Amino acid sequence: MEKRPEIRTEGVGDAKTPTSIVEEVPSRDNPYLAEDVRTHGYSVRELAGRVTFTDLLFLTLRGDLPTRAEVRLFDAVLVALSPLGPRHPAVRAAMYASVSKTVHPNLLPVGLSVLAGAHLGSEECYKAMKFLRRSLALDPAAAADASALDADGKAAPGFGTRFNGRDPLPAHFLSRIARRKSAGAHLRWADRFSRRLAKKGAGALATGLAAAAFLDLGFSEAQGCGVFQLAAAPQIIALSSEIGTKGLGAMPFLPDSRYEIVKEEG
Amino acid sequence: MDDTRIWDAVRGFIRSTKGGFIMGQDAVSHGHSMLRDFFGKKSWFEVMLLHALGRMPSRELSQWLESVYVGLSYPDPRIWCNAAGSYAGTLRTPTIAAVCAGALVSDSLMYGSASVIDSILPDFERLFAAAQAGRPIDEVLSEYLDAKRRAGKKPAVPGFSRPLVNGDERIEPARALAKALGFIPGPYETFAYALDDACRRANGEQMNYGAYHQAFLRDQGFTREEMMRTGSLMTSAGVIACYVEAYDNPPEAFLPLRCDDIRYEGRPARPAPRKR
Repeated sequence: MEKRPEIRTEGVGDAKTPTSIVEEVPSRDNPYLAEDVRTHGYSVRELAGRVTFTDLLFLTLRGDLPTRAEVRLFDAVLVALSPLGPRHPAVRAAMYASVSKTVHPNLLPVGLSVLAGAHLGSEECYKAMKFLRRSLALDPAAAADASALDADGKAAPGFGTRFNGRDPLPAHFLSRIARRKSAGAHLRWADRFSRRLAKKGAGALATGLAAAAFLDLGFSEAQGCGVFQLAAAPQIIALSSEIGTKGLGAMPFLPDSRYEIVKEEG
Repeated sequence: MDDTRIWDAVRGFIRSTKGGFIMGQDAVSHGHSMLRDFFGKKSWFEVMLLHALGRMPSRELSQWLESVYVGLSYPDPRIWCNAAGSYAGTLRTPTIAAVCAGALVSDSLMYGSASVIDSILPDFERLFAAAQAGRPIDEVLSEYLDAKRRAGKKPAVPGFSRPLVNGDERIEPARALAKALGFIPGPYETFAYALDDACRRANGEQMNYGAYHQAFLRDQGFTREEMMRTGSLMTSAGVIACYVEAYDNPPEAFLPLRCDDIRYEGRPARPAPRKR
């Protein structure tokens, strides 16, 4: 007789979902509605109007409201990461969708989905955080000298070239932010690594800047992925909604004269 | 206290009419054993339609609809949903995220499922009702186009114009396949052809595939929701092709732009305020 597979039952059933982040206080009239929501103990009724969104984001991720130095570092990094620009492929995908009248609620998810990858995306941010965490004990200059640029121009996740050149803005912000008193070991290491990579025409990418800052702010790799995408959201929203008002002609279909179908041999 | 009995009844409990997983043994779908009745006997597409519709369509209808998906799978990254796949590939985004991005883009009021449901269907049904009531189609159409002109809108019937090229090369193969499979045009499809002729006379426009598609499916008894649900994945194959090609090329090599390829029309450079 065929042996039936063993069915594991631990972990299933009526277990309550655990969280130490959010506590919902049920309404007296309806247990499915919350009359208050506490984030790490703070009531939203008290927080709203007293703290900024950046404060709340930090609180939600780290468990305490940020110090003044922490919020200034966090804001500086978010502002530095935010301007992807209308040429960035993730923004472009959302813009092109918008002129083709993709329904509005889908535009931000389109951009963020495209931004999930291993080049300039949240996957690269995740890997860069892991790289920095395990590289901290190494000498950054020696690590840069020992690195080789791969086929995609990467010396390491978060560090390399774009269009065969050193991306000026992330390298600039990394140096500037790494000089702050509030900068930690990861930012300083990443900055030295990036500066040394200049010899190879490479340096920090936006993902490397984000990774170093997020680690010094105490975020996990999983949190860093999401915050990286959050930082990109304003320009995805703004640029896609702007171009959508201009019609199809604003991003015209490439004509056949500029499209070649390569004939496969055999 | 509010009456929460609907939610109380399913709190911590799932009651499914679709089926489910019998752990370690099988899965049930709409009363069938998936492993005994479907595995190797039904196509994935047929099972997808069953799950979307709640009923197994005829083999002919399934075959027709799956073939239609072929016509919606052009591997051209200029098509907007496919471009999302290409942009994802050029950033080394995982395949599933790329396919999801393409599917999200395809929900378009201009050419996708949303266009059929929100743009084509309402006006098509109004015109259909007027024609069914006995009014000459040219008269009904003329009134409709005049009203659009007065409202400052493009004088065309949604579904009877196309953004890039007049006419739609996919209609004839779809019609020929429907005929070969034994389908006979019903009242909606018949009206769509009559409206197509009327549009050609009135403004030179022609029916696009979306108008034909919804008319055919209406004659098969599909509701609006069912059209949307069965069409959710229809552009995926084209998205994947474009994603793969961009992924296999250098990063950011899909339609790269220089800074001066953007025409900036905003405020001139100005200094930022001191720390706030």
